Amino acid sequence: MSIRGIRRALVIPRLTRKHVEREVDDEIAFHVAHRAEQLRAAGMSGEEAYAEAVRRFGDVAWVRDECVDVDHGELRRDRVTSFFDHLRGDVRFALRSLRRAPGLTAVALTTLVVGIASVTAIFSVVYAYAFRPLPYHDANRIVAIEERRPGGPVGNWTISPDAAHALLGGSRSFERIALFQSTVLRTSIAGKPSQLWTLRIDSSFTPLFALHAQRGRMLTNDEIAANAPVAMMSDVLWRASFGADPAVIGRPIRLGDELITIVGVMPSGFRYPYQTDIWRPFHLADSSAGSLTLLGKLAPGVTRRALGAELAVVSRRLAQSDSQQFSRVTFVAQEMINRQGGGLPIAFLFVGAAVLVLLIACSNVANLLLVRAAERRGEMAVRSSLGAGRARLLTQALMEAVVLAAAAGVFGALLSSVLIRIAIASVPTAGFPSWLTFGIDGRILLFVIAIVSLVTLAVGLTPAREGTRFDLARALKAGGDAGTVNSGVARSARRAIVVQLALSVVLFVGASLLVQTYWRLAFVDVGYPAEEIVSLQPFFDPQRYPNDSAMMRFAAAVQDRASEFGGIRHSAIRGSAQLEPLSGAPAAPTPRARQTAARADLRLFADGDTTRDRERRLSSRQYPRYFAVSDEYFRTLDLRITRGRSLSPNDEPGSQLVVVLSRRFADLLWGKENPIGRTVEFGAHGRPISVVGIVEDVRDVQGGQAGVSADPRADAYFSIRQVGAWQPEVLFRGSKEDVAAIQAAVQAAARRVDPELLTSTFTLARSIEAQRLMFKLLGALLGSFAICGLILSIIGIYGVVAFGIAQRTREIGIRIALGGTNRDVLRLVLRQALRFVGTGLAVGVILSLAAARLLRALLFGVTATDPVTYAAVCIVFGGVAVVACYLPARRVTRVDPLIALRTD
Amino acid sequence: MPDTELNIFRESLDLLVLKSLTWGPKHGYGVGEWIERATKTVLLLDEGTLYPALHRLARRRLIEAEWGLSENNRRAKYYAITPAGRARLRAHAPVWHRYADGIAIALRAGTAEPA
Repeated sequence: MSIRGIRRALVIPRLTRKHVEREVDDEIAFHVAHRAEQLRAAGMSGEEAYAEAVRRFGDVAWVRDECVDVDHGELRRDRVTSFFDHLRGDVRFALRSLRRAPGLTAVALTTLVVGIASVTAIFSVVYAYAFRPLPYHDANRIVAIEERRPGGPVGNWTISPDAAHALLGGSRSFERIALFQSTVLRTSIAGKPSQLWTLRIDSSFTPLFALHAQRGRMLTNDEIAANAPVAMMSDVLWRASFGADPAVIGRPIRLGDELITIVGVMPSGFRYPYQTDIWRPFHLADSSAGSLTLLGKLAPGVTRRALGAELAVVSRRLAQSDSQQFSRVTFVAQEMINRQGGGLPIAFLFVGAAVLVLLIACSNVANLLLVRAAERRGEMAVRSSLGAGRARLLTQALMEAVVLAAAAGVFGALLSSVLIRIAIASVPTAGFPSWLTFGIDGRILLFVIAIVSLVTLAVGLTPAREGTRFDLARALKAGGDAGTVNSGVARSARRAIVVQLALSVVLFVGASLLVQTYWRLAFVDVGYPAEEIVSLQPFFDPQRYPNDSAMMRFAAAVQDRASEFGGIRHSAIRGSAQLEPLSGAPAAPTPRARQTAARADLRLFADGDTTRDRERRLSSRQYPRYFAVSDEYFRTLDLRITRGRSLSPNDEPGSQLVVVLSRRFADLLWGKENPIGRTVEFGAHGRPISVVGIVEDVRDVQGGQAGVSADPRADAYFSIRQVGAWQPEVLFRGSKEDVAAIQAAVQAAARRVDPELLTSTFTLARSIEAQRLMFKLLGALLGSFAICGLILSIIGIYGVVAFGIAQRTREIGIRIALGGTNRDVLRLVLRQALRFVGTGLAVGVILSLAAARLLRALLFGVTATDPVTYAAVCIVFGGVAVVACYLPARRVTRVDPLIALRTD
Repeated sequence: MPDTELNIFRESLDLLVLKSLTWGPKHGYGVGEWIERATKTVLLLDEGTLYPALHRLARRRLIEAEWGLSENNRRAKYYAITPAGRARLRAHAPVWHRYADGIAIALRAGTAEPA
């Protein structure tokens, strides 16, 4: 090693990067100064000479970086660090080149942020609902066992006591099994009527969830065994009803008719399964206390498959021992929470829309980068002549996309969490299940990283490949100028635009169909003055209100009391008709079960014929409704009797059963024929009922998993004196100004009749308004997705047409020089631009027709192939595309042939 | 463009730089001027592109750099060829002659069958 070498080895490692940079700067400065001097000597002015010297030097910043990297890299020859040095250099290079084009960077970044934020926000919500691990101890090992019978209900998370016993005794898959019963208790707590979710738990419940009381203690095994009058309450109830008073713990409180002692408060946030408020000892003997659920914690190492096999064995054994009760019963292990919300199909719809927006955003940014890559081919050629390998160039080119996507990922994730926070703040969260949380966690971050990687490849790969594919000799000879016609790039860009347009059309068609649906639903005329009608809805507890006559007595008393208030003009009672059995106590304890039972049993016969087909024809989405109403009902709801008569006081219990049908119902049964005097039967053992009148239709919005609708309802109204009214509500009508006062008066009247009963008063408009608001929100959200897509497409088309024209300035110049008029050229350019717009529209319409079939169930009042919508979307997109083409195309008319021909 | 061609270009630039220094140390500007005169063509599109090559050669110990004073008394970085650099030039120049001659002959070939 030479002396110099030794010195270098000793000295250079002490040099900092700053030193290296300064040396390189000095070296470059010397070169430029020297060249400028020469030029001055050749006759240039000082400033000119300097500027020319810099120009001849080329990309100063890049040369400087390269030299610094080489010199600095010498200090650390480790391969890994050199990789990171390269990477850092590439990132720095990418940042610099992005900074040099602030407009493009801003557009690209905004586009990607919008795309990533919407996808992430929607994904977070769906994830929170459907996939996020439950916030319970060992939740992945706990399953709920559901008992299913052929033709029986599915997804109710319940099990019969006998089956539960069998599993308790003979299961080896479970480390622990807990049983609980859940009920909704409508009663008063601390003197206030309330609706309380109550869980009766056995002694395994606490260890299964590994719970520790926040205050006080948990229920003891002795208390549970003795069914002692003790309870625990939720943190929410403790705060809301007792002001978080610690003195409540250990003291007896009144719960309805009982005195129970609160022994502790559950940890805050624990309200399994949904919004439980009270936990009490489990008592299997008391079978009326609600539905039974069995939770099992799998023993370590037991797979779901092993569990399934064991459950099959248990069900076979049960069938053998008691074939009458348990033949063909199966047990299904499922997640401990029923996550199936009715909103999930709509949520996936929004995921689809957001993904479309992101795809459009990506293709847009890819195009922007592509055009730029083409412009910079010369620069790349120079760089490759300096020894940068293709791989290195590709990395450098891709690095712009990496930097853009990463930045967009960070901002997008932030924006999405803000969006979610705003969304949550704007809806009532009180009804959300307790396990639902919307925070950003590791998996959502993983999702964002995955999205960012995909976005990087989507927006970076084509531009990087196109940008580094060049003929070195030509690129250099052309003076490093990318003005050479770049047909490959133009073709890729056009292809991307066709794809993008097609996606936007799909998004726009889908959104228009749904927005039309939501519009119709939001502004449907219900057919009665909903804002003038106050409803009093009692939540009857089965202990004190075991049958419909008890309920009716309450309703009538409230109606009586309230009518003393001057503002009330009409009032009526309405409940669901108790058609079968027409007498006797109801068997099913809950109104919901009662209704489904009634619906399943009802068979409609008109004029002695079975009209099951007609009933099915009523609507696949809507079941007919059967109301028992008081005589003043139609006057209260301002519904006109169009034929025949209304219900009258003469329709007494002993006389002929009568019914008033809605016009829709009658139309469906008899078409144009006169329905008055005809008879119908409901149920095989029912008595003939004669139709005495036809009343105007009402509409209301029906939304569910099957779809949405606001068609006129097929309603049948019976007299409250002839047919029992289950769960009656009392309706009061006054002028719009008096509504608030009426609500107060009605509430007071109800409290005087029964101070313990939980009731709720609201105007009928309120529930309609809530629905309207939801439909408007959904519509606005989808609409904004579609508009995002449209705007992105406009930017995309504009950019591609502008690029194409910049590429062909020379050709255009020749045409004009050869005598072509501006108009000819403009027409030529437009025709070519519109060809790919047309292709995009056509592809989009075809895709939309396919995609809209998936939406069919979610539409109302508009078909999935609605020609008007398709035509309108084509016109809007076509028109917008023409403008987006025309604006840049106009530039050709300003091409000066002399300048155009000189561009090289 | 394939990497081999890039390597050829890069290699040729390295050899030219080494050659330019065989008659004594030069600063970067001097090297650039020499290459332009010697090849009678604008091989270097931008003058600055020479510098990364110089620094890379220095890093590989084929040349070494030292600050000195220029003709007009400015501080300038001078590059000198090292023994390793001379060895490389000696070893690679014949390869280049063969290569260049071979291509020239092939490009002038008049028939499909090589003579």
